[in-house]
Amino acid sequence: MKLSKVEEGKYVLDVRGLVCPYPVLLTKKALEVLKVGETLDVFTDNPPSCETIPESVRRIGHKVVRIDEIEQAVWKIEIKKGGAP
Amino acid sequence: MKEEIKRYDDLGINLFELPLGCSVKVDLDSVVYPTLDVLKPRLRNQGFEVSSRKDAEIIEAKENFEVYRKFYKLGKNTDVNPEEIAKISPTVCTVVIQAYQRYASKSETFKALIEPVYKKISESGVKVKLGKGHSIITTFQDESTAIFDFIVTKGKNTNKFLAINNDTINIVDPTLSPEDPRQVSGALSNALNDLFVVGVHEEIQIAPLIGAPNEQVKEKILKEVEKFSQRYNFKVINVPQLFSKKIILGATVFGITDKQPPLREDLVRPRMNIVVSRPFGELAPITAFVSSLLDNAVAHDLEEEGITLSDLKKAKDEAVNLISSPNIEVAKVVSEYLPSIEHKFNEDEHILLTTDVTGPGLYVFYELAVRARVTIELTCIPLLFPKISEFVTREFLMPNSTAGTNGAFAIIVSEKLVENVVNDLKLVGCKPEVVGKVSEVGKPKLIVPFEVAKYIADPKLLSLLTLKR
Repeated sequence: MKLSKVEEGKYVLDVRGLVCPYPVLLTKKALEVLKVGETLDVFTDNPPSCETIPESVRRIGHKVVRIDEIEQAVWKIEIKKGGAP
Repeated sequence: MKEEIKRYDDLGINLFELPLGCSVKVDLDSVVYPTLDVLKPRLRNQGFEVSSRKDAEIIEAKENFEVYRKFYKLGKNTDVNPEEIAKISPTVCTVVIQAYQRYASKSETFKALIEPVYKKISESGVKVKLGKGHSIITTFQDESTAIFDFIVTKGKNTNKFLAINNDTINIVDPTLSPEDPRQVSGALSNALNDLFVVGVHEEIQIAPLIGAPNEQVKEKILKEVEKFSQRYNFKVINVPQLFSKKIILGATVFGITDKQPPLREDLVRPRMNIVVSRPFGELAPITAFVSSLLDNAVAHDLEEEGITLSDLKKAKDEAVNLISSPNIEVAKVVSEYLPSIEHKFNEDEHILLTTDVTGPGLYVFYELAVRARVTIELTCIPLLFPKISEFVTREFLMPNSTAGTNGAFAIIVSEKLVENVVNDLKLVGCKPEVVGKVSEVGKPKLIVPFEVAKYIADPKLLSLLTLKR
């Protein structure tokens, strides 16, 4: 698993291979690094995480922009960091 | 937690890849069963029979049996040797399918993995029955494999049954080392639980299935298997083991009984009682504890709810102890309430149906309702640590915090017998509870109190339940 900055204001977190509860925990921790308005793409291949990551980050004020199955059984969850601008 | 992560890292294992409790299974409802439904008729014509869904395979016992373990490649390049199987001439077999996850999420791709293997086995010309299958997911493509245990029964008929089950887990508690006795006894107890839940507890034999990336660790785990077996007077069957980049702990297990198993789905009627042998949900405190060590915010939020890290550790240790204690005494109680092979079943004397509350948690009661084609209404949900279960669900750390491993027994029993069963369970140290009743025949449904929504975040699972305010 790795958090990397791919361009200004855009980060990627790869949690493929990881299972609950780790994808949710690591996504929340990664979002702490970002500034409000920046985006995080989370890559996961753990189907329950496609439900738990969006629900958990929405609850703490972030925006889930989109969820795409980018290849068989791999999903990209795009999250925009929320909070006061 | 850094220490634990490093301990596993030194063994070449990413701790975050190990699910707590049961291994990540190929989805039964959307992948495994639809695949088997397509394959079954084709294979039956070729002499390879795939059993219907069940907790344990039960066949007629002979004087003894032998186990031959074989590892095969999945897919069209499978290396099954039909002549070798013909030579073994098995009575029945079990399989653990370890499927690469990209191919394990859809029935079509899963079928492409297993069909060539099963077809090749059927070319052996031997009439063989696949008694118990267990399909788990691997994140490493080169670890896709089928692990078959071919079982040959030998000698005269004994007028007894041989019960067989296989199961695996990855880890019970990631804060303990992989070879810790509690991990091993948890995994073996979990495999044995499907025998125990049908009252089988005699002449237990264990063919361990251990995978580890490091031979030293594998040897240590196998030593713990020996110790566990000696402690309970079980016999270990020497079979080849797996090379795996992950920890896999499990076994194919065998037991003998002269009782009829509690599989009386057709006799379940309204007013019958649902009993659980003890409260369940043992994976919730382990998940909460690990999450707290990884993220201070989780520990802080729990403290705000009045649960300190030391309370949480105590709860976690209690859960690990439950998981790592085999339910053999409970099995003896179940067995007391089963008819001998030569006797007639009588609902005033015998238990009708049992299952164990494992990975699917509360959902096993829905499965019972479907099996018996009845409506079950639960009036209480006895969880070990309801506050912790509620927390891990609310924080999306677990999709279903009622889940367990080596779980409690759920028992369907007549009104007349329920008090005796509950009292006998108490005598062996259980904390049984009558949790509900059968209310209607012909309408498979599970009605649960509305509070269940606090413990299940998985919308698919919630949609199967009828919540009652």
